[in-house]
Amino acid sequence: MSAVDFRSAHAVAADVRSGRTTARAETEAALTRAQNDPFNAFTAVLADRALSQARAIDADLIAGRPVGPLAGVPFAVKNLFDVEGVTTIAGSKIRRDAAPAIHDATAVQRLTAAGAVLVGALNMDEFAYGFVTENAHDGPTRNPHDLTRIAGGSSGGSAAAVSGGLVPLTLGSDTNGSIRIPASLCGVFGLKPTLGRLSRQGAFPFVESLDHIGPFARSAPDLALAYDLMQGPDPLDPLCRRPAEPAAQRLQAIADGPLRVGVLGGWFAQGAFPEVLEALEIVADALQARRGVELPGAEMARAAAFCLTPVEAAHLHFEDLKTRPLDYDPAVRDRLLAGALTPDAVAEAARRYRPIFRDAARKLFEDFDILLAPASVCPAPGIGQATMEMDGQPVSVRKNLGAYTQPISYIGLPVVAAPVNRPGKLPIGVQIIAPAWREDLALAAALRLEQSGVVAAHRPSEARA
Amino acid sequence: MATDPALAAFLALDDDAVAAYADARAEALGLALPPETLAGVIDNLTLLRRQAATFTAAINDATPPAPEAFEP
Repeated sequence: MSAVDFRSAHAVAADVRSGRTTARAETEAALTRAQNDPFNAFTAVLADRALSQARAIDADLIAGRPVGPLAGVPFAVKNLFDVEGVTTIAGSKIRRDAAPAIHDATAVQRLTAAGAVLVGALNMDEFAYGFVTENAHDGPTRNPHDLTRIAGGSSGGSAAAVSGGLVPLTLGSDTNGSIRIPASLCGVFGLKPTLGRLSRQGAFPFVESLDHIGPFARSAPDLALAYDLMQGPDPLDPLCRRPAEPAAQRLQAIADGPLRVGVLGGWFAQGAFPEVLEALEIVADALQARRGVELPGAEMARAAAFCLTPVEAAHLHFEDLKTRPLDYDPAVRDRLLAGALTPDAVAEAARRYRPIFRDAARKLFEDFDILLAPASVCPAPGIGQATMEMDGQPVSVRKNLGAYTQPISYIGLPVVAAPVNRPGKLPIGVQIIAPAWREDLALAAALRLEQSGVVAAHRPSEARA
Repeated sequence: MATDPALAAFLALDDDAVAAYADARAEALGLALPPETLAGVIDNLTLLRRQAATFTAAINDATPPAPEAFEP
């Protein structure tokens, strides 16, 4: 592969705007890295499209025409996003024969309009159902910090591509933790915004009442910039109605001001590996957080999300489960089939519990601006590892990596997953959780932590040093 | 809680009865379960039943119905 490029999206954009490099040179380098990807992060490389856009950006720059804030920045998307002319496989075998997408997904359109250059599509758990990205059809995505370990999932390709120096910016989706888990295990920043904040139009659905999309990047400012550029209502996504509330320009002021921070205890402290709790303590100390804050009902919220997921997803897949069940990834198929057999009343009960838990969180946020929790139970498990220990008991890796993320996405709160700065060790992230529609608070807390050196994305080689 | 009969029946299943429940439910839905899926499906159904028992305990007849559109 070509040399690891670990510049931020901001740095690449500045280099292109200043003429130190060109969009074409950046794009060609990213394409070369994607084509020689040692992590199995990419499932498609879109050279023609990327080079065509890069040439247009360079022509605009030469002619003195305005370009977008991400002009010349290569990016890639989880392969559940629609890309014009490309079949949206969503990690599956079943969709490989589907017609190519007619349009780009809204998020892809908005980043492209800002000058970002789409170079490819990325590996994922089939239909986004999993936390491991050990895809039966496309193979496992490898963690850039240790190739024998998983990247996390379901947006594993998205996290690995940023972590491994392939591209500075990617998109993923998060239904139960699928941005936050891989960001944590790969040591990069990820943002799961408030439910309904960013348009999901053109993102292949998993569980429509829980699905979110969001960016991965190497810094909090990069996350904020990408997030701002994707905001705004979309008539094609009924949940996405809110006017844009740009955050990037306000982050420093918020980061410099007081923040009331709590560390979630109870459910969020049970079963975590010691190094996960140690990493959380480092962040809690830096933010002078109050420890042991209880969010009542978190275990029930996790259980409700756990049940709602397969029941709702099985409705979407019912015809394929009936006619071609053996074409699914076995790890996904058995969970979807079980969901199909579960009474709809279970999903209805899970939806009824949602406002109860949301109101408990709202009450807690009367006393706090930010809540902290571990992102994952443990650092990245090995590829093929079926079980891990939680509280001394062997449990399924696939079903338990998201124990701390599921309660939060269940009620749609915004979260930044930020990588704790611990060079020489496997990455561990923390969840920085904010009240609904207050992504700015979570991003500002991440910025403060980044500026004080408490969180940082590392080149993989640095992590091994 | 569980005044819904289907939910009550599901929650009342013993682990040993999950396989028979899966067969009956699959037949009712016209869903064939290939032999290689049976063990995984039963494991997952058992887990779903246990998880459902966890949160449905917090819901009762006084709990409002699910909102049509959830607001975070």
